[in-house]
Amino acid sequence: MIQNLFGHKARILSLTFILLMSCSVLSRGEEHTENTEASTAQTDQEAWTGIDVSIVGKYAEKYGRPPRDPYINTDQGDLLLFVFTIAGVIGGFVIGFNVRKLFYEK
Amino acid sequence: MKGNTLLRITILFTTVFSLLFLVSENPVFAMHITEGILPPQWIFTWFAVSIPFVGIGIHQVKRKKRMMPNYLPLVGMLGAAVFVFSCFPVPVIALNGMATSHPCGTGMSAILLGPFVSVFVAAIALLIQALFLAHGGLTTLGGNIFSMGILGSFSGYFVFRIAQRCRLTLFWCGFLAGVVSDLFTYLGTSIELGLLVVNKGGSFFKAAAEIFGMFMMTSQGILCIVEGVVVGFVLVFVYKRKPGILLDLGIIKDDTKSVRT
Repeated sequence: MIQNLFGHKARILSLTFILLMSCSVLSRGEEHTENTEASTAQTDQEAWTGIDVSIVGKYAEKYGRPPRDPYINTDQGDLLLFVFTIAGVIGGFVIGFNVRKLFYEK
Repeated sequence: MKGNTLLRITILFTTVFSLLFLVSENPVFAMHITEGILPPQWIFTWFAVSIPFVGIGIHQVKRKKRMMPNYLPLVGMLGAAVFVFSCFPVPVIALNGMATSHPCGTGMSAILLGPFVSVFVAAIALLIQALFLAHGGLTTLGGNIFSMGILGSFSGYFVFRIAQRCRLTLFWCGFLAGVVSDLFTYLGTSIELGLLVVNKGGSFFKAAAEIFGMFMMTSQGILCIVEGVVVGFVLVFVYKRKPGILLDLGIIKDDTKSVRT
């Protein structure tokens, strides 16, 4: 019974998450391309840029295959932060739940 | 009921993807190999290489869950760990300045779950990242599974076994597996990017070596050591907390004899 209840809640949570993501992406407006002040912002960002951005992106452009938008583009404003937080919470929950089940329950 | 729900989700996602495919046009840089970088022939090649490994992984999960009652929670825990590890930007100060990079976690999952199941959990993690986190991409999923899943898992697994034969302690076996799996993952990415110059008449080896060198100098040279330490400590933790798990998985032969950690 508890397992069924948990499974049901997990299913509802998953579906809500998927729908929320899809709606957020679908409802996005036009991309904000701010060319002004770009150089200052770029210098600030370059300090801790991910190597997949600075290396993979750089070489891909060099070889004539520049990256493009993902099909579901959550990299807009704070949306990516939100998605990362949700992913971290769910990932942490799954890890914690199974660690307890494997190592601490008798 | 289950079939209907799955069908509805599939229809929803197909619709969403179709709409997004039409509206996507601006370049976005993200982790792993991003959408649009690989040309069609390499997209199909990497998918063709990766799919059999994922298939065998699914088959092994089904088989092993019948043999070991705790296997599914272990798959869940390590799958989530691979997902979190591989989208977790760690700040590193290295030769090329300040950058962030992520570990892979496939070395750890390959040791505990076996290399094929590790490819399967890496595929799931990469798929979720491609769908929701703007990391990697759907067209480059095969390439990312090849580098992080296949190369990362198999290199880590074999290095762990070799280290065990050399009678190293459990921590050092895990450490070496973590380091090597991380290096091989980025070697795989370098190979995939290096292959882009083949059609342009450039030297594949020169390009791949240049990209791999950049990865090492920027952050991965340090981060692979961090990943090795984490994998080593995880194995020691599992051994000290519940050695029966390692025994069931065939990682240690006899839990009555003390294993050097």
